[in-house]
This record gives sequence, C-alpha cells and structure tokens, in this order.
Amino acid sequence: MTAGTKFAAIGTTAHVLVTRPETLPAAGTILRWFIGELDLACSRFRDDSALSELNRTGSATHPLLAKAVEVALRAAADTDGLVDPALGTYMVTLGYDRTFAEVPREAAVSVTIDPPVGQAWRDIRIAGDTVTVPQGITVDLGATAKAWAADVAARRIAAETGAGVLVNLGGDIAVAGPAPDDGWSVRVTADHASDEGGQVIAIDSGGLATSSVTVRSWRRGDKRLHHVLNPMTGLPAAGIWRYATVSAATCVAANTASTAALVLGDRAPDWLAARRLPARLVATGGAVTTVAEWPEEES
Amino acid sequence: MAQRLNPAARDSAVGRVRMITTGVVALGLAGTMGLGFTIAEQVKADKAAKAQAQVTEDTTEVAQEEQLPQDQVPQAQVPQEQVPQEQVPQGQATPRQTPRKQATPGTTTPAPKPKPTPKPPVTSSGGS
Repeated sequence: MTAGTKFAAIGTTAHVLVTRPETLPAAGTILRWFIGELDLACSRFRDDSALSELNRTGSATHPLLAKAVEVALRAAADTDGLVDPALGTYMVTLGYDRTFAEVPREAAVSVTIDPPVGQAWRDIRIAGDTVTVPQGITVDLGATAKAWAADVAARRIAAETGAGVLVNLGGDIAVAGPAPDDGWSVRVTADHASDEGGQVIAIDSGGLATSSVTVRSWRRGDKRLHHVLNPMTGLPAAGIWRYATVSAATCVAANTASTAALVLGDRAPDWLAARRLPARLVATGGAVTTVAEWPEEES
Repeated sequence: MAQRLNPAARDSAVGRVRMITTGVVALGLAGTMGLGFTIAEQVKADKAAKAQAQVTEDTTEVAQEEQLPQDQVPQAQVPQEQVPQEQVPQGQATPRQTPRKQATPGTTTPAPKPKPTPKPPVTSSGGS
C-alpha cells in the first residue's frame, strides 16, 4: 500500500509517494523543506535568490547553487552542450522572463535572436561554493535543477524513513528505497498534469523524465515558442518531437537525455540507443518511436 | 490524499533531518581523519623499522629524519559507500571535482528498463 501527497511548488506540482503510509508526514516535510531551499538558491524568478544575484553581478556564493550549477555543467559536458545552462538571456529575450504562469501566452511583437557565439557554459566557474559567470551570461537551471532535486529528495526521504519513495517534481520522477511489488506505475504523457493518453509503465529504480514542447509554449508574433532551446540557434528546438521520455539511473540523467532528444530531433533515437537509454519519443503527428527496450504499448 | 502536519511534527522532522545530516558529516570527517592518522602512523612505523635495519648494517650512515614525501602519503579515504552521495550543502565549503571530469550522476550506470504494467498509474511523467 502506498500513500502520497501533492502540492504546488516552484511553478509546478510536487508529488511524493511512500510505501509506508505512516512515513508520509515526514516525507512531505522533507520535500517541502528541500524545495524551499532549492527555490531560494536556484530560482530565476525571485530577486532574492542566489541565482538572481549571480545573473545580476556575475558572482554568487551559495552551496546549493554551486551544486546545482555543477550538475548543470556536467549535463552540458555529457551532451557536448546540447543541454546548455548559459542560454538564460535567450529565454528572457524570447519572453520567458517571469514565472511561466505570468508569461503572456500571446503578444504581437516579434523577437529577433542572434545565434550564440561558442559554448559560453564552458566559461562558468565554480570555486568552493562560489559561482562566477562571464559578463553578459545569464544562467538558467531549468533543464536540470528540478530533476536533480527530485533525485536528492527521494534519496533523502528514503534514507530518513526507510520507506520506498517516489518524488515527482513537475513530471521529473526519481525513486529510491524498496519499490512496491511490480514497481511504481507511471503514466508518460505530454503533460504531467494529464490523467489520460500516453502509456503506463512501471519503474522500480532510477529516474524517469519527460521533456515536452507543448506545455510551456507561447506565441510572439507569428511564431510559436517553447522553452527547450537549441544552443546552436538560441531559438526553440525544431518541433520534430512533441515529447520525449527517458529512463535512466537518475532523474537528472533522464532529464538531460530527454531534453537533448528534443534538441537533436531526428538524430535522437540513435543518440539514445548509443547510450542504451530506454526512451519513448512521440512525434508531433503522434507516431511513437521507442528505443533501447522501452516496453511495447499494450493494445 | 494530502495530510496536514502539525507544526510540532514538522519541526521535529526537520530537526531530525538536520541532526542526521550533521551526524553523517561529522562521522565522515572523523573517519577520514582517523584513517589518515592511522595510515600515517603505520607508514612511519614501517619507515622506522627499515631505517633501524639500515643502521644495523651500516652504523656510519646518518639517520635521516622520518619524513614521507607528500606524494607517497596514502590519501586517507573514507570508503565510497560511507560517503553520502548527495549531501545538501550545509554552508561549509566542500571539496568538489571539476564538473568536466565527472559525468552526470546516473550516466555511467546502466539505465533501468521500464516494464509494462496493468496497474493504474500513481503519478504522471510529462512536460510541466
């Protein structure tokens, strides 16, 4: 028997489930506390966050921010920059300059973007708890911080309570501890808030993440924009895939790969297969491509 | 189903988390220092024994100060399984590897394979 609690946090929903219901209060407390700390360190949308200070001044000292930036830089290195934390300026120019609930979904203005020069993320430095960025670089940890937080929180809660734990932060799922019999059943779909469509699968360890171009999308002029940017152009990745779901040993590895898949477009299946990452890619027309032993859909 | 915590239970849980974190960090540090000290002492003892043997063979040789070059000192290491893999930083600087030398956690271990299931979903993975 499992028990869970769900609440709004960091512009999305947080959901924690445990295999021992009596541990749920502690699990919820730990998750709320950790998300609060994460928000204070890594939010791009609150002036008092360490990340805002970093983007304003070029330097900030905060242990949690330093760790989150380190994780983001590893993701960038692992993907040769496909998942780039230094594209914050482009995100702001495109209109995603406040918490997404407040971003106007339509505006008559058109946006002009000059392609990024080089891979600016390589110039981000971490020394101890201090992060420094070159002038003009805005860091955006949206691609990795949430998934990493799910990993950390799940492990923490499992260690604290001894229960099997699933933490879902806006669709980024990490599990830890002993899973229920037959695993945790999870629907993979375009929108984590949806109760229909997609496919239901079971996982018992690691992480599962889905990146989608349909949920956080808006229009500027005649262009439909979304939040997964191509680091080569500074523009939203071409919409070959509507969403991509990846299973990996950790949630942050899964999220890194699912984000990279959207950027890679038609090269994504080979890229994922080479890394033996089970994945399910859904094209804009609805066709499903599975990779690396992702289970077939039951008719 | 959401459950409300009373403030005392919440504070208690937070307190436990902090206490455990502090304990793990303290134990890790103590273990590292203890192991380092033990190894250093062992190295010294071995060196002293060798030096003693040399003195016996050649009494004219001046005994050298027992000092092991830094690059030969075994680095005290707490076994990996004793080190918390993801510590929430608590405000103190911790040694950190250069990001480009270390892979994203989870990329070097095999990915778990999802399985088909007839069970209804307990949660959803999707865009947010």
